Amino acid sequence: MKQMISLKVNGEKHEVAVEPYETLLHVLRDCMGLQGTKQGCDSGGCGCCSVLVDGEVIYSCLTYVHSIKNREIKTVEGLSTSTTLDPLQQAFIDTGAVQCGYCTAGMLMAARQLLNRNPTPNDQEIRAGISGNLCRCTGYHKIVEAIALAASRENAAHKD
Amino acid sequence: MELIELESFYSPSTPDDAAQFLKGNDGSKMVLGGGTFVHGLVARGLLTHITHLVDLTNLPLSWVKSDSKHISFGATTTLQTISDELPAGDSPWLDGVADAMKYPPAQIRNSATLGGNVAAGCPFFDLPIVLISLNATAFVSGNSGKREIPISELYVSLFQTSLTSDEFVSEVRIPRPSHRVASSYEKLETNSNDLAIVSIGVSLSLGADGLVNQVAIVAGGGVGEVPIRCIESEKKLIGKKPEAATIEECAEAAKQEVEPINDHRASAAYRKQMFKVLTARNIERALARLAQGDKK
Repeated sequence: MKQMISLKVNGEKHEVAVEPYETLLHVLRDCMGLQGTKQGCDSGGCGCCSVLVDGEVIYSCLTYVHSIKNREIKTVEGLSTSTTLDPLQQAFIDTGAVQCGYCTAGMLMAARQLLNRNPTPNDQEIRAGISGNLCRCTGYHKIVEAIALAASRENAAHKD
Repeated sequence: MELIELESFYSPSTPDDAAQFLKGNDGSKMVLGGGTFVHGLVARGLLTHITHLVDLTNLPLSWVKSDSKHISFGATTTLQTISDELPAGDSPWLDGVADAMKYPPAQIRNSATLGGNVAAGCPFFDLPIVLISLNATAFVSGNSGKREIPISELYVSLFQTSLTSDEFVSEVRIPRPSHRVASSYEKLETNSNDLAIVSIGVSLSLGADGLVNQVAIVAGGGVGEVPIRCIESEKKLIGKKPEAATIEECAEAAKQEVEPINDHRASAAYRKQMFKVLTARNIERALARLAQGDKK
């Protein structure tokens, strides 16, 4: 039986009617129209459904929506403001880290948490930070490069 | 991972509420930690009878406490919190726990809980293997009160534990040894999100005479339906000086002691051979950790 629950997504409060078995991924994509978050393996193996809950990256396909009522959810749609891209998004563009694009939203969210926790990661730490995300196009080099570039730009901006 | 037969998703706020809800559970109610393995159980067709989920993550059981006798973890503590809050001063005793926390990706570390990890009854998981090597005990709550179960006795068969249907793990406690102990954990895997091909947890200590006076070697991954304590291989090491030939003999005994599965990840023969390699490597790593501590 559907129940009304309250979710805070990208700073906005939403009331949605959900079945007890529904996942956050399903609610985001099919109930709220936030289709930036992708459905891949739907079993916690590929990472393209990654979103932030209270700043921590999780697999939305493995998360029951009832388990995260009243918590702060951020999807790829909430990364940028209306006029400015997140430094990670800009760095992904500048380094050519996007090919088919299917993994990109998840990569960005995993990388966002990584830089929030560790503003100056080395290559090994970047690779560990995205170890839960698969990319079948890039071979990861460009993605690692993009995350390092975003980190250096964010650190330079903080010094200014 | 849809459980479309599900009628309710209950999130109790106290352990008593959880116990009350589970009273008289006929097996249709399943306790949930971080929920990251539910899809694995659904995919195996094991949850067709489940109509109620009981989410424990709102219980006030997310903590790490340390005193002179134990270190203990609340059941809803996430793997990330364990990783963040392991006391640096407890190295090399808890190095195996730190090793285990490096395998799951951030998404799993942020969701998966200690209680779920222990109670899922999955021999492919990392933490139970380390916890058995460190003689940890699970504290279990239920309607008939609380009880303690050594984690080595918790597992009955694949995905089956000795918990009754109205019980849940509320805490895990590792006894603090009176002497210097080092631990080590290693997993062989195909990628960071796959199940282990084979895994090992080792803890050991040396007496003042340089002889091994305590050792635990625990096999996990695809070596059986439940984690296996390798008693015979431990006997090859106990009371001996841990020299290369002794370690080799111990590792060979470990290889003979496990009876791994064949599956698409690896053959049984490969698993056996790798378990031997991992046994020797992790004994050496634990010894190196003990020695490193001695220099400080």
